[in-house]
Amino acid sequence: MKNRERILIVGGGIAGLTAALELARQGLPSLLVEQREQVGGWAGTYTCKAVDGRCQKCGVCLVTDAVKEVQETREIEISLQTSVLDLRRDGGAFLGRFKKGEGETSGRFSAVMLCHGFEPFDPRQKSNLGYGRISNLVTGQELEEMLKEKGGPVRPSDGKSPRDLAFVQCVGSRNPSLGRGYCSQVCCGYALRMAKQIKANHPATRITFFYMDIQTFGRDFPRLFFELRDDIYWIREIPGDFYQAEGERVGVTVEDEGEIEDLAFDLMVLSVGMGPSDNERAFEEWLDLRRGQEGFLVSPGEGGIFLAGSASGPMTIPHTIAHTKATVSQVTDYLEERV
Amino acid sequence: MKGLPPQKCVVVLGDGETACQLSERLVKEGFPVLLLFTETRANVKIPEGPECLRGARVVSMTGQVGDFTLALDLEDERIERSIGFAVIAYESVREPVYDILGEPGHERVWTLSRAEAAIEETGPPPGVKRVILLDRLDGLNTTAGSERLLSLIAHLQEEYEIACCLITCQVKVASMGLEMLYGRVRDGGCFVARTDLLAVGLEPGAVKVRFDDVVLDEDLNTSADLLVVGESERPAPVLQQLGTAFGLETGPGGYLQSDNLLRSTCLTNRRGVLVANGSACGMNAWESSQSISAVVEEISGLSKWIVDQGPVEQILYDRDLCATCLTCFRVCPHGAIHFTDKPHFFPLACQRCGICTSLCPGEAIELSGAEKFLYQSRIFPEENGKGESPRITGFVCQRSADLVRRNGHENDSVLGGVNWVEVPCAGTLRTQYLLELLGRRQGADGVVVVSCHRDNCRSGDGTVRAVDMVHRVKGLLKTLEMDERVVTHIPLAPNEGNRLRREIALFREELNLKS
Repeated sequence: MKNRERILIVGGGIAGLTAALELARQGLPSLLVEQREQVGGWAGTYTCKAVDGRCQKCGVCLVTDAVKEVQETREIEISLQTSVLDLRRDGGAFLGRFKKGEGETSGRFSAVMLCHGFEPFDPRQKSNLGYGRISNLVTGQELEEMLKEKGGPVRPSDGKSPRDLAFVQCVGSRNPSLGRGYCSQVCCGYALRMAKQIKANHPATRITFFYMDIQTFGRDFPRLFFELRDDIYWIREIPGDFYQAEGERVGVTVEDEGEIEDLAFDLMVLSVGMGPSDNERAFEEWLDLRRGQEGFLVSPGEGGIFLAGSASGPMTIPHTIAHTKATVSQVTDYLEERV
Repeated sequence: MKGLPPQKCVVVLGDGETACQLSERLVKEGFPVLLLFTETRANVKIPEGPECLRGARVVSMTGQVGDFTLALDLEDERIERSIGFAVIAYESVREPVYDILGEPGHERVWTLSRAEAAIEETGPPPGVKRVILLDRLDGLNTTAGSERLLSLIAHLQEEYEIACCLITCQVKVASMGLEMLYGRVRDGGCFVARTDLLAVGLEPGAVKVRFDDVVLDEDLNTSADLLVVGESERPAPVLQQLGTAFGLETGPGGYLQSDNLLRSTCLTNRRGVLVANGSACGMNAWESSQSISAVVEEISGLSKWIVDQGPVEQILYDRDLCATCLTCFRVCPHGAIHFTDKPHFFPLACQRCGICTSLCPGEAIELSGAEKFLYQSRIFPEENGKGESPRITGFVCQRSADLVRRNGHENDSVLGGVNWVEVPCAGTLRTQYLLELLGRRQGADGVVVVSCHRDNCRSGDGTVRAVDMVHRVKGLLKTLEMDERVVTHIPLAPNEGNRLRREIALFREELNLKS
């Protein structure tokens, strides 16, 4: 490659980090821009879900590995707290303008990898969930952070360990009326892995699972599923209305085996799904991109613009890594043909 | 291979589309390809670019990435080829999820593969108006299987106006576009039943099914002209022999990739030996396509890495101390040791886990940069006049070392009080290091061994070896009627700084050490 223009990577989550590392392996330098104060993305805030010293294959630690490796790689420049002001084609290349702190910078790039990731579903969009009004009702992501910080589940209202907790699946997924007619692919995995860890560390905690269909994830799904089968109370229904029950418990009304029942839990977890990132609108306009039926941007796969990871649809961490590596092979093909 | 350019030829082994597509992609990238076919599947069009050998059986592959020697048996003749990389790309084998349906040859019971093929070639048999499709009912049906069933239903409904009923336990939709397809199929009139109990009656000319619908909570009966039984995947039988010939770990079900995310997407325990698609695990359509690209990307990256890396010696070997016991050869997780009258170490295959050094009974092997004398000075800093005798010594593997470097400075009351000794992998630790440490310092000292979690170690076995070693030391302490609690093992992921702090605090408490 004669041209030493760098490749622009937008987003420093697991997709952006993997992209930068793979490009560096191919001898290609990159600039990685990240809005936040640190790289790692959403997954960087999640908890390790190992049980009794055995990995449960959630992939969260791979982000930590990637952050470390990126920081040690010469070909990669990271620009934190940087947002993209403008990004346009310029002949066969791209011109970008960025805002970093108070200042503005710009650069010319041979190709663009959009790795801006996803936005978790905001349960406030569904008012009957009562999220934000009812105490001790948290999202799956909040539970991730709680387990990471505190080592176990606690009720936000009083800091006590819950005696019983329930997961509600498909919140903001598989719901065409919300414009989200897709499975988010990650929620069954994170919820069941966290359930397994909580059950192992706090065997007295009763766990209930509200669900439509349990999705397969990972290679040891059969083992995890069988191990949890009798440890969890399964209810094949997604409850609609949530209310504050006595003792700051979370109440729901469900129809279980033909009977209307009021159930209450010390802690309830909404397994929120993944949606397109808010950043997409700007890229869509600047680069003239198309959206797929599911609302995520579609990777053109040509012309120097590439999408990797959950920017192109819901994906697990291992899938994001695989997708990003596959995308980098398209990028190198593109650059070779361009010269 | 000193001074010689690495061998670029890639051997691809397979029996179907994956191997063909991969070969074509690699040829396009400029890699010479040797394609080894055993028996090919029907309808496989063999590409013209690569050299093709049929019916060859792999006997062994020795050497290291960029410089392998592949031994093959071809028509009673042993041949050897120089190879740079190897890709095992067999498709997985499909088999019906149920054999409860009587003889599989029943005219009204078809496997999913048969239905797919028949409909592609001739369309459904005349007179078929209703079809029941049956998926596995124990919750272990897969996304890949569900994808194929739903595609077939869409086809039957939309092209042939055939009424369909899908009987399953969990509708698996965790792949791009699958929920949409599921919606389309239901809008097209497909009845989807979720059940875990079913009775099937076969009569001439019709299939009758009775099941307990768990969502409607009702006993239902239905009948059809044809029953299509879904399929699950298992590894191709040839993988077992290939795994042995190539020296590979196996994963769940016998695939040639262990269930270790550090091997994603296409890596095995041997550098330069890769697995694609149905040789790594069962995959859906999206995963297979990523898998093929990931292999191409990996080979291209590795071929650059070999040139940059050069021949760096990783292992220091002392022939005088070697008892030629073959232990190192046996325990190396990466196929990096070859044994003739003495061990040979392949530097490009070595991944610096140090397991060979820790288990060598003669201490004949050392890992460069992690030699015993270096540990001595780190374990006993006071003997070099550096600092006081530490009360707790912590061995921490490279992967988590950043955690203690970041948090382990002196003003950290919990982690700072520990003398952290970094090791390349917890598997590198010798029993003697711990015994010496405990023997030389009487009293309240504690030893912590921090490793990765099981199934999450770069070398696969590092954690297991570390756990064994800690058990051995504890056993010895018990025999000597000493307090075995002074030694502990903490499995840790590199993002578990908070937990490490909690575990160390607990350990201190147990030893009654003030922080």
